[in-house]
Amino acid sequence: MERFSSPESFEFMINMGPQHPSTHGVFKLVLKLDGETVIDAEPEIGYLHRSVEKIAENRTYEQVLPLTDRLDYVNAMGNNLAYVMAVENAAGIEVPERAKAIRVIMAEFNRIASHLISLGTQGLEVGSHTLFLYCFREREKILDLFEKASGGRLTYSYFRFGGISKDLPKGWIDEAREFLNDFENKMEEYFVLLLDNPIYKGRTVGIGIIKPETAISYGASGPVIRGSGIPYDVRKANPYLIYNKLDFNIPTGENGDVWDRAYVRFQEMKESVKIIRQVIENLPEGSVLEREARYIVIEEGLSSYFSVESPRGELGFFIYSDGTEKPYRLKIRSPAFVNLSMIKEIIKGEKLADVPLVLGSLDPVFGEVDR
Amino acid sequence: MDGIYFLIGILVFILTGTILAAALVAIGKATSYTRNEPEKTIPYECGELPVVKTKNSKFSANYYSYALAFLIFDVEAALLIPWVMSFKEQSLTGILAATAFLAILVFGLLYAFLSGGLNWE
Amino acid sequence: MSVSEALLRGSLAALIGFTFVGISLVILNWFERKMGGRIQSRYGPMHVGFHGILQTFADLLKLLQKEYIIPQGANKLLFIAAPFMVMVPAIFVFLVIPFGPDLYAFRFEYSLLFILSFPALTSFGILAAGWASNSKYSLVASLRTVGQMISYEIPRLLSALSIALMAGSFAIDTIVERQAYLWFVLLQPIAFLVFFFSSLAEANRMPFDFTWAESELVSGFFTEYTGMRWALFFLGEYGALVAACLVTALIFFGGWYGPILPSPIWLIVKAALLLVFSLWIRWTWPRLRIDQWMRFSWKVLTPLSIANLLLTAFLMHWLGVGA
Repeated sequence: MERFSSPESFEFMINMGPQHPSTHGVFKLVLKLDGETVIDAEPEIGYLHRSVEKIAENRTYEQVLPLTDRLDYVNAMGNNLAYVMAVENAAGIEVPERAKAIRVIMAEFNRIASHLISLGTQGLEVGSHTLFLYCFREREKILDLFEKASGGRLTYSYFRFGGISKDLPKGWIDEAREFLNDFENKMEEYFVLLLDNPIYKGRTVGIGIIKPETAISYGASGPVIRGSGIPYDVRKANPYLIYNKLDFNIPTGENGDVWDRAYVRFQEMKESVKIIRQVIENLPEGSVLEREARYIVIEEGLSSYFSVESPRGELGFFIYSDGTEKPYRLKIRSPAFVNLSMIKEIIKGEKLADVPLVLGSLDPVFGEVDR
Repeated sequence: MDGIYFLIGILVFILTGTILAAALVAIGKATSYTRNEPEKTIPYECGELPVVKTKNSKFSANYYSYALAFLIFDVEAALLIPWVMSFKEQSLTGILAATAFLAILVFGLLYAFLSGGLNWE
Repeated sequence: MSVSEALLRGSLAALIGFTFVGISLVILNWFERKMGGRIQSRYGPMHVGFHGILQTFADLLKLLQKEYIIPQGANKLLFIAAPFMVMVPAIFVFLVIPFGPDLYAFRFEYSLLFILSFPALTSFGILAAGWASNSKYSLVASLRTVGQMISYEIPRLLSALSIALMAGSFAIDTIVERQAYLWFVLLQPIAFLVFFFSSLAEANRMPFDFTWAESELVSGFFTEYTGMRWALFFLGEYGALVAACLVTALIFFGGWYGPILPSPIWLIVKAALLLVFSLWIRWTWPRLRIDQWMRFSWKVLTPLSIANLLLTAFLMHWLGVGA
């Protein structure tokens, strides 16, 4: 039907965020609406900026580690891993086999925990509070496992240069195995409750479509690019630790819509379970930390970049050294920031009710976006 | 004359209900203390000042095509009420007449549907 | 009936309606949280009273202390009047609802029509609240109310018409008497589903809570409301839900008919079961999107209820079971 007046006269500007129940953190989106349809959006970030990169320049390499916990606070293990491996890579530190295996276990557990939050908040955004709490119930068990191993529940600082701080406690492996068995049954429940629910499908299929070209041109990574059908995963593309010895698949979506991204995350949790099972069954014996390298000096002029696959995508640390015990420059390639930069493009033409849903499907964590 | 009494009843109902509700608000006002600060009274827009004032922005109710259909169907439903009331005195003709009436309306709905009028754009 | 009796009955109906909704809010709110807790594998309220049974009272005390804020640029008159415009029509049904064979405030020949039309006035209250608040989230929410209302009213009315057709009357007590042996829900399952879900939509309950969809509209039309004014909206919402379940129990589940127990108890038990059903839906299903719901309502529910009405008419004619 023809519009009776020009759309310009019906512009409706509204702030969404920073203080909004469903922007996943402090994030502002100035929406321009025509009725309930979004015609333009202007994202605004920086509300959680803590200048981690600058602070790191005044700290020794060891002292930077706790800062990385606080970047992407739902994936602290993954951040530790990326930073520790970037420094090890630059300083040429060897890691024992057992420590490598435990790092994989922890990173994958944290991937599950992070994807659980993402899935749960997807439920919350469509008003399904039940799934959200179910996901947190499962995440709680993972946090318990982390607490037993590292002593922390949110910020772990578990990894050290050259290994991990302490070996797994007794019985940890059995508990982890028990959790995995339990979790696999629970996954089916989540699938029925949310992903397979006709209302949720109606809300998400065909919404917030990211074309493969768009995803590539923005440099997206993680479940966001895989949801668009591009099987890019750092664990396969550029294997680190022991990922090249493990058997796992890279799930991809077809249409690149919100549902596909949620489904990719769901499948990735299954793959993570598979990975953890493999590592647990073949856990090497031995030391986890040969010699703790507390005082690290990286050769002057050496710049090194190392990236791992965080639950949000390619998380990279770039280190440039001036030959002192502190990094001259530490640049964090934050996947959440890169993925979030697409929001303006993909939100156009969607309904107001879908804005939190599309935003949530990019799974931004603002500790990492603003750094 | 029962209708008049019912009307009185409705009016008294509204009055009593309002008084009861107002009593609740009055109790609330009596037991609370309001400190008026200018910042407090800014309309909520996620913690920021409104980009455009609400009175200056126009919200397009672009479901108006549904509203048009609603008007027609509301009248239709109103016309069906006497038909339902007198159903026992009717023969098959009455039912067929109602069917024809509804069929025309459903065709109209179908037309609106096919011409894209029932899409929220 | 005399004028004084009408005055008495009207005010009593309001009093009873208010009390009924108030009491059911206290019970229902606690039950809803407990049930939600159970479904979500947590306890729900535990600390105020035995198993949190006094939680609602604690909330009431909290609400009593809240500040009363009228936002800048708000239309004061409408802002203050809107909670009443939602609360009072929501309990209008108590004017005509029979709790037993002779237990009603007014016997009205067209009480079903009254129930279908007058409580719809709440939409105006919501529209007024959203517009008067001078807040954009409220405005969007209040305009959604209109969209919501124009999509559920027709199917709801048509499915109620097919019930009236079967009963041969618009008087609720006659409709209930016709169900002495067979509940209409068994004869009219489609009408029941359409009517019940439209009633949930009228009460703004999940999965149709577009007007205060928390994830996008913060709190919808009552974003700017505080204290007891907010509580009136809350009361109105529960009132509409309780009323919808009472009416559904009356016209589909045989109302007060049931063995042994007195008739009001049966009606309340049936309504309570429907309430539990609605809460169950609330804790399980995600929310629809308003345009999807409008499209669904116009493309599926409206034709379906028209077909249902005609089918009822033809079957009644051929089987000769007219009233």
